[in-house]
Amino acid sequence: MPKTIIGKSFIIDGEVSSSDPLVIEGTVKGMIQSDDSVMVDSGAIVEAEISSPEVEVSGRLIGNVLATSKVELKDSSHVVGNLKAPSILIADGASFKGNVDMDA
Amino acid sequence: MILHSSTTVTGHIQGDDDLQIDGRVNGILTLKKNLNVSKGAIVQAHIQAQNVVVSGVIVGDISAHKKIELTPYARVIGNLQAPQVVISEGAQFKGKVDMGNLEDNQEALPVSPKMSVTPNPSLAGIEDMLSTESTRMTQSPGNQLPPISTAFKTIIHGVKRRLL
Repeated sequence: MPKTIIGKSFIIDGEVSSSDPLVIEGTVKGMIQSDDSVMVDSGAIVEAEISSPEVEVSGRLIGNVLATSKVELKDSSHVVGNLKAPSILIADGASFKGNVDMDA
Repeated sequence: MILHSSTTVTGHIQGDDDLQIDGRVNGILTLKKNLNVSKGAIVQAHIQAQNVVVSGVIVGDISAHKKIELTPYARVIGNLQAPQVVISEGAQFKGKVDMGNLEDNQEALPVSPKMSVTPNPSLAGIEDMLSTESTRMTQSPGNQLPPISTAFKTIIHGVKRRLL
């Protein structure tokens, strides 16, 4: 399955949606949707609502995350927003402000 | 960066690197380097880049600093602006092409505005004709028929008044 990578030098203002995995290395403002997974890389700046089965954040994120499977905030992540997923992991070192909802 | 066929982006994309679109984009593309719209891609956007190669479908204006190339698979509706524009055999295109370089030579070209500056040249010609006619009439020594010549003069003046 080909990954779509939003490169470091790219800024997207709007909506990104894909049925394949999405990797954000650059800046996205708006909405991100994937039928597979979304990864916010370290160095990425995201101001968006994210919806995807799996979401992994290593960079900066302002916005709500809705995952049907799992949300993982890595140790380098800075996140402001609400997380909703059956499984939520927040690593040691991650900075996070918002609500956590694990209701299935 | 590659936007794969399953990926759709709606909005404004800005970038300093090359971009290849295999999927769909609606909005505005502002790139400092090259754009490649692959066969199968559908783009509805205003595009600005250094070089643009199109093999897919684009609806929208394309402006390139260097070159726009429409390959045989390209289907484009919109205006193209670039110093170099290549349209290959098989490509379908509807719109304007502006290569920009004609503007430098525009002064050397014979342009029509000068013609339209003279107001109604046909009417001016008639006025000249009428005035010469009437003077000829007054100068004519034919004193034997003064009433006809004066009648003719009044007709001419009437025509003149109606025309002017």
